Amino acid sequence: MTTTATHGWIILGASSPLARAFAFAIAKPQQKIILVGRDTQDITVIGQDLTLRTHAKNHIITSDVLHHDHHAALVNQCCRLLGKQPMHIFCAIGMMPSQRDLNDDAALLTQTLQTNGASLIALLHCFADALEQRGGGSLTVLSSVAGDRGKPSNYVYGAAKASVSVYLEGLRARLHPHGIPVLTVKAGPIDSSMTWNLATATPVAHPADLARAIKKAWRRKKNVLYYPPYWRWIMMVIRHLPEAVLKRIDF
Amino acid sequence: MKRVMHGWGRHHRAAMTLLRPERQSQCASCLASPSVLPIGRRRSYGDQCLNDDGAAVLMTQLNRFVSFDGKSGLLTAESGVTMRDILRHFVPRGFIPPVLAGTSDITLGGAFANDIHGKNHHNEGSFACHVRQCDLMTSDGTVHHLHPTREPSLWHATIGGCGLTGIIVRLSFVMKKIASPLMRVSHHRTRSLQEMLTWFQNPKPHPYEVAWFNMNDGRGICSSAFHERDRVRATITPAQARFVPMHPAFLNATTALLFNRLYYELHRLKRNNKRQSLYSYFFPLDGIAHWNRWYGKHGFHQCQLVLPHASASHGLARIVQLVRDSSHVVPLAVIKRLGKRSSGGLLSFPMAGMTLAMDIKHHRHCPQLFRELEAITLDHQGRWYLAKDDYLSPRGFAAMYSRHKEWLKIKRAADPHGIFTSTMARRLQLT
Repeated sequence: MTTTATHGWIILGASSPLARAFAFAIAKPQQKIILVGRDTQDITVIGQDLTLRTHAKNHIITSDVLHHDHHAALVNQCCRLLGKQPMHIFCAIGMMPSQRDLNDDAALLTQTLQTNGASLIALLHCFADALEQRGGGSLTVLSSVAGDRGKPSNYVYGAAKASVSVYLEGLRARLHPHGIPVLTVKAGPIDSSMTWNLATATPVAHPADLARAIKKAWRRKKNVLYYPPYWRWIMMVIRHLPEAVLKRIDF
Repeated sequence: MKRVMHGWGRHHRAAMTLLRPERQSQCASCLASPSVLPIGRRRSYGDQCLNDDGAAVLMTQLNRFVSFDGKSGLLTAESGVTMRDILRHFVPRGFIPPVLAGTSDITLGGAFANDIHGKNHHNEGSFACHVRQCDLMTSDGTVHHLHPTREPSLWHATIGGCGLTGIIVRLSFVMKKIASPLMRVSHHRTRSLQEMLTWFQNPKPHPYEVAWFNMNDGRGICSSAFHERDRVRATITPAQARFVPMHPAFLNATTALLFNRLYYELHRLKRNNKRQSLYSYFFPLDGIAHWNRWYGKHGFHQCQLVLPHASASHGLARIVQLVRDSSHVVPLAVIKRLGKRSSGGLLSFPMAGMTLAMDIKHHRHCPQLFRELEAITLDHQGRWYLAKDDYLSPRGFAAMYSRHKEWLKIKRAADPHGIFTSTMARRLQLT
C-alpha cells in the first residue's frame, strides 16, 4: 500500500501537532485530506497551510468527539467526500490534564475519560462499520504507553488509553478478514501542549519524527508501534512487573 | 516551571516562565500573567527577548501560512513563521521576503517588532514598509486588525515596538519576485574608512550593498550584489547548519586581528562578479550552528548604531579610534548604508545614514566602553538598535528616539495594566 492521490485521509483531532505533522507526512498534490477538529478557526488555518505547502486538497469539518449524536453524520459526511476512494483514518484525539487537577475536579475527570476513552471508542466504532462496509482502508489511532500499566502520575489518562488499546486489539481481529489494518501507536511523551512545561523522565519525541515512523509502520501494516522504539523494551519489562513491585515505584 | 534563557549574545540570562500557545485561541489565556513578553526565535542579541521573573509567550508553534497570492506576492502568515521556512517554500516559486536580516532563523513577528533592515535598505526600506496588515492581540485579548490607515497610532507603535504593545498574531506582507535563486556578487577592497564611505556614496545599480570592516587597520571589503536576471531552474537549498566546536580562549585580540587580516588577503583571490546562492550571500553564518557559543560563558554584545550622513564620517572615525585604543576583542564589524525610506515606526531603528555593527566579546570593562560609545553616538545625532542592545541608558534612549513619549502614550492606552514588559523595557523605562 502506498500513498497515492487515489487514497483519501481523514485526520481526527487535526489541531494536535502530531496530527498536523502526520498530515504533512502523507500529503501529496491533489490528495484529499479531511481535517476534523473542534477549533474551526485553527483547523481552517491548518488546512490553508497544508494546501499552500503541499498542494493537497483539504476539507474542514468541525466536530467534537463528545457529541455522540454527531458521530454518524460525521462518518457519512466523510464517506460522501471521499466517494469511492479507500478511506484511511488517523486519529490523534486526546487530552491530558494533570493528575492533580483530575483529583480535584470530577467533571474534568469524566471529560478526560470520555474524550480519551468512551466517546472516542464510540466514534471509532462508527468509522469501523464504515470501513467494513466499504471493504478497504485502514485505521491508525494514537494511544499511549501510559495505557499499558497504571502509574500514580497519570492513571486516569492511562485508564482511558488502556481502554482504547484493548478496543483496537479486538477491532484489529474483527477487521482482519476484510484486509483492513488497524495500527495502535503507543507513544511516549510527544512535544505538544500536553507535555510542555511538564518534567518528563524521558526526552520528548518530535511530532515530525513520530509522524514519519507512523507512516512507515502504516505502510508495513504493523499492528502496534512503540515510539520512540525503546519504549517497547521498557514496557515489556514494566508489563511483567508484579503488582507488589509496581505499587512501590513510579516509572 | 521556570527556564533560564538568554538572547543570542548569551550575556544576559533571565529565569522566566515559558508559555507556548499552539493556536490563536490559546494566546488569550497567556495574558493572565501580570508580566508577559511575546518572543520568537530569540535572535536579538541583548535583553530585549528576556523577561526576568515574568512570563514569555513563545510564538514558534503558530507557524502556519494562511494565504498567498501569486500575482501580487501578498503572503499572509502567522507570526511564528520563520524566514527560513518562507524561503524553503517560496524560493522555488520565485519569491523571497523583501527584506532579509543577517540570519534566516527569525520569525515574522520578530521582524516586524524590530522593524528589521537588510542589505537593501537604501532601496527598499525596512521590513515594515512592506507589511500591509498586522493582527495584534492586545492585553484585553481582543485582536486588532492593524493597517497603516486603520488604527494608525497602534500600527506605528507596534512597528519596532519590541513586542510591548501586544502579541503579533498574524502578518500580511508583499513578497519580492526573483528570477533566480542565485546572486551575482562583486567585491571592492578599500584601504581606509574614508575610502569605504566614498564607495557607499557613489551611486550603483546594485540593490544590495554591505561592507565588512577591519576595526584594527581600517581596511575593508565592500560588496554589492543583485539577483541573477536569467531565469535559472536551479534548485538551491540552504547548507545544513553544523556546530563547529571552538574553545572560547581561541577567540582573543590576536586571533581576531589575524582572522581579519587573512580575510582581507584571501579576498584578493576571489573572482569578481561571481555567482552565489542567495542563502550563502544573505546568511553566511547560518551554516554554523550556535556560533554564539564561541564567545564563551560570558557571551558577547553586538552594538549597532546609525549616524546621519552629515556626521557619519567624523563619528565613525571617533568610534573606530575608541575601539582600537581599547583592549576589546572585536572579531567582526560591518558597515552599511541606510536609506531615507521610513516605515513610520515610532521606535523604528533605521534612519538615513551610515550604520556600523560590531561584535564585542564581553569583558568587565564593556559597560565603560558602551557609555563612551553612547556619548559619541549622541554627539553625532545617531541612535542604537534596540534588538542588539545591552547597555543603553534611559537618558540616552530618550535622546535617540525622539518620539518615545508618543509611543509610551499609545502603549499605555493599549496596555493599561502594563502587562507587556521585558528586561529591556524596564531598563529603558518603557513601561
